[in-house]
Amino acid sequence: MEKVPNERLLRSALGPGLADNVAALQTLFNAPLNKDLVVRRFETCGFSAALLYIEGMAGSQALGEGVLRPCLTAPPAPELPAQERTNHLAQAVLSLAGTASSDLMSELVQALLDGQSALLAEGCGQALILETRGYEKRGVERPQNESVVIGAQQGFVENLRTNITLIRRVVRSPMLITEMLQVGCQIPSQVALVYLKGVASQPILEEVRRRILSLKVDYLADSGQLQAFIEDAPMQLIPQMLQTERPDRAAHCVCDGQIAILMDNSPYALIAPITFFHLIHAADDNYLRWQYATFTRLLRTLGLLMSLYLPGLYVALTTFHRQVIPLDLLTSIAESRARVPFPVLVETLILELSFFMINEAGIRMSSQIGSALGIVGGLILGQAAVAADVISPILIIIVALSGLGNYVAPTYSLSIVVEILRLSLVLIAALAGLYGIALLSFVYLCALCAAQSLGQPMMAPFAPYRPHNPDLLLRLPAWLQKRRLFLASRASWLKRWRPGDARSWRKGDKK
Amino acid sequence: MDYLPQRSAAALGLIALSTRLFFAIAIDLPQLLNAGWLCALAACALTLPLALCLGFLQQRWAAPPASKCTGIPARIFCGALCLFSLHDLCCVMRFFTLSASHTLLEDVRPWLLTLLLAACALLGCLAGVRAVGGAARVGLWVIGLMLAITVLVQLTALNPGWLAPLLGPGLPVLARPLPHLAGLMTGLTGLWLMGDGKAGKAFSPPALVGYIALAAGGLLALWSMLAPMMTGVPDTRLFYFDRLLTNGRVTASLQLVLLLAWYGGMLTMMSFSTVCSARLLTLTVPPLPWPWAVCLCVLGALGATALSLADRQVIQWINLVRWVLVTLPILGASLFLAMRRKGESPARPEANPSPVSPDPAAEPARLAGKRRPVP
Amino acid sequence: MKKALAATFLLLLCLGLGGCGLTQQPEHQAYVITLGIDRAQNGQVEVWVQVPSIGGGGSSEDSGSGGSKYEMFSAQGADLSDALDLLAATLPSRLQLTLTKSVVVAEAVARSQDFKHILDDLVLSYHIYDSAAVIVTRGTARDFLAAQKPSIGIRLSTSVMAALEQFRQSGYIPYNTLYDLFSANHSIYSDPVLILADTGPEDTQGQDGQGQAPASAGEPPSLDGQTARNGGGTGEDGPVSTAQDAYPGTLPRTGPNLNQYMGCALMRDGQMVGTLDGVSSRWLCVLRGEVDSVSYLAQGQALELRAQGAPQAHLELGEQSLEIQIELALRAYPPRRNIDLEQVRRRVTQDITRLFAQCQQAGVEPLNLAQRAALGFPTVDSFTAYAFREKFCQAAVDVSVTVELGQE
Repeated sequence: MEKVPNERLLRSALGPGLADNVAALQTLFNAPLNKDLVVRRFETCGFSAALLYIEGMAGSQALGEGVLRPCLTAPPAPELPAQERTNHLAQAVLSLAGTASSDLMSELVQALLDGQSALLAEGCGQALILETRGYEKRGVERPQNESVVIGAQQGFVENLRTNITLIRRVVRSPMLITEMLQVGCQIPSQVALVYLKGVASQPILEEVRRRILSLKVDYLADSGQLQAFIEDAPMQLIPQMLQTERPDRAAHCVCDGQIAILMDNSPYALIAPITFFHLIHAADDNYLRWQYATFTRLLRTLGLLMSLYLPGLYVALTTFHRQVIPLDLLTSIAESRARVPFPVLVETLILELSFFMINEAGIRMSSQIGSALGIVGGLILGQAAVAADVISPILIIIVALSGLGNYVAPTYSLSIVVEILRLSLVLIAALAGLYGIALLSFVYLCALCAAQSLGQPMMAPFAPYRPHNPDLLLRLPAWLQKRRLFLASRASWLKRWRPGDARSWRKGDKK
Repeated sequence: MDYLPQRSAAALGLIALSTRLFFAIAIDLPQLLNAGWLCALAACALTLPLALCLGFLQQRWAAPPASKCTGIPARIFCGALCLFSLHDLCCVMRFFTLSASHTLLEDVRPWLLTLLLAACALLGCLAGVRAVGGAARVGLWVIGLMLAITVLVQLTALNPGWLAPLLGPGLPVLARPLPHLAGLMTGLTGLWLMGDGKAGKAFSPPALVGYIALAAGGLLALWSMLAPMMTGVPDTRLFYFDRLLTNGRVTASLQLVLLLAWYGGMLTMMSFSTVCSARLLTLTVPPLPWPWAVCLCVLGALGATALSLADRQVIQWINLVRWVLVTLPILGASLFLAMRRKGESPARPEANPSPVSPDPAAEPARLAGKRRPVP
Repeated sequence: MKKALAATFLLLLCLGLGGCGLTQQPEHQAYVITLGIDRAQNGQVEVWVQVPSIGGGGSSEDSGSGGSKYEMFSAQGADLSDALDLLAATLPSRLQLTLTKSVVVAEAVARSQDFKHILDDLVLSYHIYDSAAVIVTRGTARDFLAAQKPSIGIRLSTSVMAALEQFRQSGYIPYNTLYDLFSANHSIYSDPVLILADTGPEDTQGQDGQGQAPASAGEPPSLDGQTARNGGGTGEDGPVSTAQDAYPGTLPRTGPNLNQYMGCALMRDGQMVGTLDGVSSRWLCVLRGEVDSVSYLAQGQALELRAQGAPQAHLELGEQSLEIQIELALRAYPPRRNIDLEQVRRRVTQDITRLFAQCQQAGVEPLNLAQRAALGFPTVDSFTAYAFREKFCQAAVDVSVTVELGQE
């Protein structure tokens, strides 16, 4: 294995000499070739000191007002022992909120890379790590991919601290724990486990910790990559963790005993363990009245089923089981296909792939020419293809309906899964009709029932059965949902409702 | 080894055994005319003793039954059960592919349909017993919904008058196939062996037999109300299968729902037979890993479809033997355990536990023993 | 490893399965709307099929474009299977019988002894779905199919089904399907009836053979001689209903569709043995529970008679004889209230008694009484030993009809 350059220097401790320490840090950061490291030398309290920071990462106001001004205006302290110099600065001179001390080069390097500053003093083997982060970051905006009508309109950003804060603002409990871990042997990234102590199941928590700490990767860029490393079966199509960009959803999951895994530079939280039903529930199901939530949830389920099966059913019925199609419709289909040169399967695949490409192009295309996509997709591919007898108009309706059904999936991962499975069902339908669709659906169902999320069955609480709230496909009124989620600890101190009537105000009315 | 949770076991047993019983009567016993539903009820009644014994053993052991099958006699018994399950699997595969071929897949070669089915069984059941049980729980709702739609749409076409004369061909004819139908129902033993052994309301063999009686008997009665008793018609499986799917009175569009319900039932039957035979094979030959067991069972059944093991007479003979070979040992084992329990001294220490534990250090252990394990 | 093997195995499988072939595509099928069975001059079975022609650029089933867009094909063979095989072999597209709406059989074929075998062949081919209606035409199936045209703006298949549904609801034709016919032919219960039809002449003048204007198909039978439509003889309470003449092919009506549906063909042991006219057919349908209201002309008023509950049939299953008591409660809804209900009751009783006489004379029991009788027997053998149909033909029938004035 290749060694990290300057590994020995990185593992060394600070010495008493200021110049040596500064030189070591400059070597580690490849200065003067690397222009990002800034070294500001000054005199304070009668001794020499140096402030090091990465340009652009540290905030100039904090540096100026919180560090340099107090240091430069501080009275001399001639009786101060050399070893106490940094402590004196931290306690009596600096006006910053966060300071820590360290004597390890590796910690200083990491702190500088995080946007903090290092303050070194002559004759002192301890350096101060100052909280001076001031890099540019994206503000909290509306979620891009999980829109709701009623509910919070905040989404995660790339900054880990901001994301943790967003959850903490919802779950205001001292039992909310943020456990910091690091992943990446060579280029570490911060990962935070956010959970409620006493609510999250201890074995599950230990399992998550074990999986993350046992990772032997040099570098991880995003929570999506982290998910691939720690989920139970990465070869399965179905995702075993939920990716959400909504803090309110993450907070709700944390209160249910699940664990939110946040990663620096990733605007998504991973929620685990989950069940399949978490993938089809939307964030605003909890905010709407139960009738509306039930209706939209059923609509969503129907949309997903339609998206999954409609093209395959069309191929199966028109190729093999024509007797179940009313003759009028069948004649229309036959007439519309009379001049199409391709078999039903090829026609369907052409249109499906075109649809997928339009989808993908819509994501990648820049906004200036985004409107052209509608023209290209709708008019050219649709209208012209029909006029040229390349595809039949009925199939456009079928593919459009199935595409529409796909868009109701509340999670992006699920919509991709449905698209892939849809293709497979179309292929099997062309080969063996409804028989093939039934067989493949059975295999998928078995795979889904076998899937696990951090060791918990994903089809629970339905199969295997676990006591649960009436909140799977139908969302019954909130006051009927008295149980905690089965994924939480059995001894959870957080109950859904206290014993007694959740709507106890009604008793006052009755009197 | 993963065990089948209670509700999954109940769902799997209900669908698989009801479908098997339904098909055995509707397709393979045309001589029963429209009185097959009575036969179904009687066959379930004949299975009750076996179910009661299984329930008793479940209560007695309070542990996964598979964990008790370590001795040589038990393994031989499991081996015999495995062979019977394999035969079931072979029959189901043949039924399924021939009927799929009939429903307008005649362009597709039947042996290829069988291979596809075998691949599906392999892939689906490799996921494990729990996965199949979970799929059955989902299937219970889906198939139930489809059957409800079918019955509702055909409600006006149901003619209860066609159930008369009530005894149909007469009591002797009705009674003759009962042992072989009860032999079919001994599949309950395999289901019980796959379970987690927890005694509870969710999976009680006698109750399950009752539900199967209601389901199979009810469906047969409804089916009998759709066409009059006929004589002089072909007694081929094809004819009765066609009658099941078409019946002639409703719009052909309803066939879509019927086909899906039928496919669902057949798939559940097939998956039940596959996992049952694979599990029994692992009990017979303990070092055999699960994937190998599934592969061997599927390939074995596939090979057997080329033989005539799925013929009516063969099925009836094998099920008759099965009824005897399965019911007697279970009855015997239950009686033996019951008598042993009766024969034990009432003065024995286990029969008179002290209300106060003599050893305070044992208290946490006692409490720990009572605590339910975290799933 | 195992999953990879299974996946490879599946892929290999896929090579052998078919579904992309040209003959599998929906536009390369010949969807049979109506199947006709005739007896050819040489005694062979002649099969006719009517299929829509599938062409590009617009619906081929629009009748407004002028000229038929339906094609007829035929083939002859020693039996039905032979003829169908030849037809399938000579059609340019694949023959699809699965969506057939109706099967039209010439009366000559229906009255022949091998009609049962023809029917069995058709059902047991498993190519035709059994919800097709079966129609006996007094002429040839070829003429019937040729005269079958869609209503304006509707496809032919829909026209056929809508027309049959309309006539069934009025009670002039029975409700039946191919499977009903097949199962009834083989059942231990009652005998089946088929729809009776014929192709009318191009110009129908409205004159019957007796020089009197017969009732038109849609009009109710008259009870007295006060209208110009009466004729045909008199009965105890005035002129006998002219709808006795209501057989298809002679109905005084005009329209683009020359095919006329009226009455029933009585079947026994798979062979046609008689017919029922329009009036008898309606009461047959009422007694079978297929319709529960009929329109009736009385004293110049067109009134509606609605059955109050299912008709009651009481059977005395004697060892040597059978006694049948029919009770039918009707409610009359006349436009004006001054109506002689007793006269209506007598006419209805007469009509039903005549129906029974016709059935007994033909030696058939199409009223579903056998299945009621079967309730009194424990086994099929004991029921068949009773020989219900034979006893029915000799049975004494007591018809009791009550007619009340309905309250709107």
